[in-house]
Amino acid sequence: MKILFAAPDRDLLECFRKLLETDLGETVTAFDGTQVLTLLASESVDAVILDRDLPRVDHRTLVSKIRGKNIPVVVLTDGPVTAAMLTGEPTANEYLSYPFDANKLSGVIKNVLETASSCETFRVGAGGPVITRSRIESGPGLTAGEIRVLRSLANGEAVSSDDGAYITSLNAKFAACGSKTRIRYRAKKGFETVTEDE
Amino acid sequence: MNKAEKKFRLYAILVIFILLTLLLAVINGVNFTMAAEDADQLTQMLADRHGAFERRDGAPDESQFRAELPGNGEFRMGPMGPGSPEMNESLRYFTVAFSEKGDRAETVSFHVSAVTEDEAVTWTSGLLKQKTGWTRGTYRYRVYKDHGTVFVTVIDQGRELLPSFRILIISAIGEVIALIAGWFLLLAIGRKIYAPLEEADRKQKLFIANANREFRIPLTVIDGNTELTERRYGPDDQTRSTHRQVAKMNELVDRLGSAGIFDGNTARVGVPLSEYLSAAIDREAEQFAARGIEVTADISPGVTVTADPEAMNRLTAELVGNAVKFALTKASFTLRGEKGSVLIEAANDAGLPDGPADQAFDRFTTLQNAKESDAGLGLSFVKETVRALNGRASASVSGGIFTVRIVL
Repeated sequence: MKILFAAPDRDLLECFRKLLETDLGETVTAFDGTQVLTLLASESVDAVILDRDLPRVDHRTLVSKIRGKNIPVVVLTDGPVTAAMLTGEPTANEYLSYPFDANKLSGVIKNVLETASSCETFRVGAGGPVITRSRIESGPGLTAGEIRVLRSLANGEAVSSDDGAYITSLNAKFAACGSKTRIRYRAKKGFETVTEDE
Repeated sequence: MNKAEKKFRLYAILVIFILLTLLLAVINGVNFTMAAEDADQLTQMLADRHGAFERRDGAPDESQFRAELPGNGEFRMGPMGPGSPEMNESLRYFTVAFSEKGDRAETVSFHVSAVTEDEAVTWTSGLLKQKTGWTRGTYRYRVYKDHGTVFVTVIDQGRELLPSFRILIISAIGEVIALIAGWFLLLAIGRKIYAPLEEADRKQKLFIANANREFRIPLTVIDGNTELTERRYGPDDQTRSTHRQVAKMNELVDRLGSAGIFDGNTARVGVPLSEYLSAAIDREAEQFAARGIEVTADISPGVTVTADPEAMNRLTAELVGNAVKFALTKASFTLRGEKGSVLIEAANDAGLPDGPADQAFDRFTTLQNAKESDAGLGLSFVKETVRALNGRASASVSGGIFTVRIVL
């Protein structure tokens, strides 16, 4: 596996290059957007980790180009992950807030690689509506976090309110594709999916 | 427009209103009092002449007034007022004389057109027990006795009072115009005064947001390098300590950057606040017991708010955590849902002087004596959360009890 890690801080690049090489495999680094484009043209990579404030080329342009090549991309942000990020276009496969440790970053990359190739269908709630990824992906696409939330809901597992941004973005995406499914919080039950008629 | 500017403008317009009203009340009051004094002077002059001025054809006899005027007998106000030589011609008055028992009446003088003599008798018969005053709006009367006869002299001051009424109306209209103009003036002044304050506030928030961001990458690098060291040489006390300190810093950075969760993109759902608060108290029950703090809770069941569940979870945790850190011997929590609003009160004895304590909501501010180190961010998070929900949060100390009061 080959990872491209791009961030403007050289200490960060060097430190995580070493960690990722141990955890995932070969890691190449870039400290600005131009270098990212050059490396993408010359190297074959399996996933890209991209700082949101990378100089020279806007991260949205980079995400668009990277996803155009069907390469999963994780965007690193120095603020909280918001629903605006998750519903905006182009959307990365996942967003991750600083600070994080090597285990968390590696876990996110693995999850992104796994969900990027997944074609699963989610039935949310017992007897509830079936949501296919393609149905929702007609919009900006699903992030790995959103898929994780959908999986938890489909499996009847508890969803944490820490995933508030994913829940909001999923509701927005449900509405955008004409689905009446919504994720709501119910006392003593936590988050669950309902149709608007309920 | 921020809250402080709104307050400034409301108070300023209230002050302008009070001052203008006082000023205009004094002007109109003095004006009316002087008119009454003039009228009394005239009724007295008539009383001194048994209720009638001596009239003669041709020019008025000035001498009948001059002797009674103050100073050298100069006319007080030229052709106007009680000292005017025109008074004889212009005054509208009548005098009715009654027997001492009031059973016989005779009109002594009658120089008025608005009433008939019969009306005048009927009217004045009701004034016999009075001395002087206003009747029927603009008529001034005086009742006096002379040799067993009771005289009632009434003068019509309508024409003289008309300017006073006009001044009163003009004053009221002028006050309304002044208040409207003042409001717009305050709008302009308020913006000038508060623009630098808003800018300072914006810069402070920007600084905190930037500082928060600037901490995040170095913390990631420190933790990453510590991880690398551990992988190469194995973990030891120093690397574990570094991880712990980084974790503490991460938590601080997260709390400092909590404003990010209020960007309107978080989930807004029905949050069972009663359960959240009860759960938060239960979680800290051991801590309260270990510190010898007596806890009372009065929580109405089934109270919900539409909010981000994580934010409300943390809000209740911060309120209870605050009591754990600062209560001396007792803490209490109240939750009520009434008439569409929710009231939360968290109180603890604190050994603080009585008074408002809203500065407890400022970032990095600790009012009370914490039993452990505290960053002073908990209540600032509470305030930010409440503000995001368009609620109100206040803090005060009364009888040594520090109380945070939240209305959602």
